[in-house]
Amino acid sequence: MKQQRAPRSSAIQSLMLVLLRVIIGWHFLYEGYVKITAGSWSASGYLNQAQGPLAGFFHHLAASKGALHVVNFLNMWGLAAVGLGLMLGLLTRLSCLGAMLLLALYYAANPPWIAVLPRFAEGNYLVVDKNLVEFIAVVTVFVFDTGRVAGLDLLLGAWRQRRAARRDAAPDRPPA
Amino acid sequence: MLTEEEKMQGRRNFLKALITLPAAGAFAAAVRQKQVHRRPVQAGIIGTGSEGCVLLEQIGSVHPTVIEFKALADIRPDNLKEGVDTIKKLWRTQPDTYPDDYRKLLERDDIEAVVIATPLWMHAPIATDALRAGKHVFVEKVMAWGLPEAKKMVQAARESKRILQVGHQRRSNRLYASVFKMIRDGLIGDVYHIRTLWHRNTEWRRDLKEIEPDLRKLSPNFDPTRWGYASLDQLVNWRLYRKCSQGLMGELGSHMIEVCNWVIGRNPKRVYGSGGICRYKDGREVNDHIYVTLEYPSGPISPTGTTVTFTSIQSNKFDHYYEQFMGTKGTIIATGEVDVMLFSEESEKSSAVEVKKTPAGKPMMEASASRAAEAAGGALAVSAGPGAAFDRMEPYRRELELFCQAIKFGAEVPCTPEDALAAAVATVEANEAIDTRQPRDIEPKQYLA
Repeated sequence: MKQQRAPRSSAIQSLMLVLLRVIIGWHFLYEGYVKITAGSWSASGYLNQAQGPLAGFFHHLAASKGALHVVNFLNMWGLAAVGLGLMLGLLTRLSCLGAMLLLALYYAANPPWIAVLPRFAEGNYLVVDKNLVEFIAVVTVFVFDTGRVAGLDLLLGAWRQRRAARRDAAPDRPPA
Repeated sequence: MLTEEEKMQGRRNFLKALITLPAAGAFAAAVRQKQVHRRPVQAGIIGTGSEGCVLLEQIGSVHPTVIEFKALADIRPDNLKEGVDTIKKLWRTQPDTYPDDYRKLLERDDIEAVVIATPLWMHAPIATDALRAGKHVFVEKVMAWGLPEAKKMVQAARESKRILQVGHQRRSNRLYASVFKMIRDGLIGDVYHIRTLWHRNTEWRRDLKEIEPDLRKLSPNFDPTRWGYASLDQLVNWRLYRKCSQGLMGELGSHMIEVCNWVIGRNPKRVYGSGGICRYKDGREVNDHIYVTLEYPSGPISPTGTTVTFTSIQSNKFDHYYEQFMGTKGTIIATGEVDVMLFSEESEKSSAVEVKKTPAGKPMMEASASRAAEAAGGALAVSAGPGAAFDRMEPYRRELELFCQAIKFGAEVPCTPEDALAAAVATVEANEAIDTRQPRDIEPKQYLA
């Protein structure tokens, strides 16, 4: 028996998913931008205030000069790169994975659980916080691969297709 | 060779690929706009005596810089020098100075706002001139010495469409915001009485012998009569002269009245007063002991009205200064602008109060009747004294930061001209009541500009 394919998204559904991707991208890009342009931004305060089961790990990162330097760089430029990727729909799935990783780390640093007092968290709704909400939103964007609906991934995909077609069309080399 | 359909599909795909580029453009435009807004407010300061320099010290400690002072004006040469030195220290810039005429500062197009911290009687003329010159104005409290000029200030602000903010800094004090919220949320029940006082044991007079030598070194021929002061003593000790000052009521009582107006949500309808020059018979014109009662109509915190008492004496400092809000379910005492205590009327259900550092904008204190009380029920005193969480000078910084945000982003000012006018009306009427020993009824329309 032939399996029925899932119905394709309607135009309005696709539009809303693309919009979701773009505004998440805007958020990430802005967060990266303000940190990069601040000049002396550091994650040390945030890491030192970490709580929950992974607090020790985050405190250790803050205490180590080398590790902190790497964390600062990856955080600032990672946010900006992920943001730009999501906004423009370029390497969308990779950007989504980057976003999910960052959000998971932020969630873990200040988990919204009963025993944990909120500090840097913007809202604490018992297990759910804004990091988790955004994480699920990114997963949704990932699953729907909106880069191929509207975004530079369309051009990237077309370029890859043309390259593959040229490779397939190239004449076989004659045997030595 | 591509078919027409393939070409159409290709074009559609190309458009879809680029459709999100405008978002990047919008982002860049928004960031550019933000950069424009991040430019510090270009300001001048008129009056760099003790209060003016406090404001400079506080806002000068804020980084990134939110305001830059390009020029200052002060008729007193020692104050002028102090102001220049403070700006050089904090901003590392050399401001222009206008020792003779503040209007020259107001003529500058590169100045968009002025901070005014002169003696009280000069608040209204300078602020009104500044507003009419198109400048945003931050003026120290009380907004004006007299009520007709106070109302002219409000009108000038409306006509010029410029910000007018008055320096009643408890409105920018996050402890008081928490007190306000707790009372408005009904935590202490209905509040029929608020006791406020400001007691000191000081003569409030500056010693000319300590000031004049330095002043004369800077300007040997300095003559304050050019600017309407009868003598150097009147300039230096302006607070003690009726022409320049509203006395203890203006300098101290106006803070309490403003807080009570805010918390009660109404303005006083009647005021009684008494007082006199009881201790310092040194030629001063303002009273050194005053006792005032203000009656407020019914409002959000009391179904039948609230009575506020304010006393200010200069013969004993034991009580320091505080506001005590007495509710049917509890009492809140705010002392010295840094300590707050909450007492429950019912000993078995005390409320815990914490003072803690929180991100900007969040309440400084959380109080909940459901939290377990400390032992020895009833009172939990929380001190934010030395080394504790709350800095008494923070509201001075915050009120100026909010002034800058109002200019840049249209944010609300913490103390509007109308709020300040209400405090000024009550202050002046209280002094009238003290002088005449007659109760003064204040009609609602007196609070309108």
